[in-house]
Amino acid sequence: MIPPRHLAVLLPPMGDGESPDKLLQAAAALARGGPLDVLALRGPDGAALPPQATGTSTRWWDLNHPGLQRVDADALIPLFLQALDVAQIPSPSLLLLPPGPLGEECAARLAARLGAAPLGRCGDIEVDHHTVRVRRAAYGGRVELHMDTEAAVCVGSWRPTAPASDAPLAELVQLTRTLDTPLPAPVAAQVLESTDKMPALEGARLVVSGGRGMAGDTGFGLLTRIADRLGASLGGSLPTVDAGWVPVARQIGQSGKFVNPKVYFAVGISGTPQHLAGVSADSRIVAVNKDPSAPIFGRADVGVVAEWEALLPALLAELDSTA
Amino acid sequence: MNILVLLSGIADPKWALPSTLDTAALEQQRARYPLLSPFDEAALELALKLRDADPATQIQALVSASSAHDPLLRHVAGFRLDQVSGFDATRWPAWNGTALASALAAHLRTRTPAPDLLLIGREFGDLDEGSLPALLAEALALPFRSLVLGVRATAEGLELVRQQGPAQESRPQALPALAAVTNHARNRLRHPLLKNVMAAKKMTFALIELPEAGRPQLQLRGVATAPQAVRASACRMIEGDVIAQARALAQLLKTPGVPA
Repeated sequence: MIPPRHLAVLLPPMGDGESPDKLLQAAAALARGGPLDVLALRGPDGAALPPQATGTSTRWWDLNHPGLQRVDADALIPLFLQALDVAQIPSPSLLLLPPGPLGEECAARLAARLGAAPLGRCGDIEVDHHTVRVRRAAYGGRVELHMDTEAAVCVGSWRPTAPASDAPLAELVQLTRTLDTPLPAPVAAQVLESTDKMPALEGARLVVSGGRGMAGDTGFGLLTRIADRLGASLGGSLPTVDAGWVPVARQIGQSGKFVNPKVYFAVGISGTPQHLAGVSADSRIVAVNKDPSAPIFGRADVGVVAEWEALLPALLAELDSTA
Repeated sequence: MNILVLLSGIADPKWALPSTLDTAALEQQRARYPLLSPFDEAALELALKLRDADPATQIQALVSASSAHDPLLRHVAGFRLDQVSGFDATRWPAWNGTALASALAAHLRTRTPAPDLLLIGREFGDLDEGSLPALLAEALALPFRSLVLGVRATAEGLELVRQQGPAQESRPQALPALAAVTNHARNRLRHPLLKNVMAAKKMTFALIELPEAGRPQLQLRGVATAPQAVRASACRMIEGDVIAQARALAQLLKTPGVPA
């Protein structure tokens, strides 16, 4: 049965390697054959996101604003509000944004502006007649909150956990509009020179990641060289960001980035729920830890019990010798 | 400058969760094994840094607490703040972000002097996933800056260092404002001085009554242990000496996506 609640996916301009595929597939499955609107924002220099047919009837809105330069929530909130007007999204509705700091900030602020229920960072979402049910991680990923609401408008960010649907593709209608809502005044921001030259986590096929067990810059120096040899991206757990070994933009976990590589190479990572919440269930985990009882081996596909101080130099030498 | 730091604290994750999972039991766990989260610590440390730079800076803290005897209140007071008070965490749980933001906003409007700068961790304790800071800024109609890594007072207000997409940026910020602070090696919380810790032991604290908010939009129907990802097969361990392990790993990692 088609849920009596209109679904819309709100997409900020996508950065390198970012893809809304999983969110779109999950939203289409949630629509159960009902209509889905995709509101994709972009600035004058951004390429339009290629429209994607989904498993439900979809209206794909390519919405550009000639003045959009800086992609932050201050600029995106008025654009999303105008986009909702342009697309005439009816109520009751469920508005979904991608996971990550920007999507989550936009979701909360939009909820406040619309007088909507803020669903937060959702794991699972169900729509049952007028009721929206969500599950949200809490207590460092150890606990799940089960919540529901009948609010006319609900806004949340969504990290779908269910496998992608293989439903046949349905009708796709493409629409293009230019938005003209006033944007905030330009910000006198100075970009600080970054020493981080590694590939982005988003879209990486291989992510090399370290944890508290790396015990310092030396270990991350080795991991960086290994990632470089493999053309991989580099990430770290929350404690490694606290320690300053990895920038916060590379934090993986419930409070950080969600990654979906083919292989996640985890070194010195114990495998807390908080961290593993940031790794897709589709990713194969290759784990190195000196503790054979580390929880990471309960989730990994391949494991190595070893001291990183001995293993990583040998791995680097092996990669160099076979380059 | 008047700074208000909003703190929640988390349950120390080293301890197992209570066998009965409900919000009351979890809050008791938080009060029994309290820790400031890395985001709480970063927010408090930035406030202390601003006071280091200008001793006239006043710092007050408002803490989500289980009672007036919550050890978190005393811990926070150990940093020699100008005022530490709490509000009832059970009555105002952070999962209900709209209600908490609305109640906090109504309370903050009554504070004199009004805070120039609100500092809060990027996530407000174990029950918030990052919505509360943004909701509070909207409820107060304050400029909101997320992912703040550093702050410095200037003649015009503040200079903020924050994460903007993949880069860090420095930007001016007029006051009043609300900054949600994230973790970074530069803003790890210092240790309190022993004399201040001892002074805090003699203090008494009060829970502030937050004004009633409207009808909640979200209902909490249950709390459960989070499901763990289920593996179809056992982890394949690479055995042998370090050289053999390194060789096998190199082969595996050079062809990501190919089953090992």
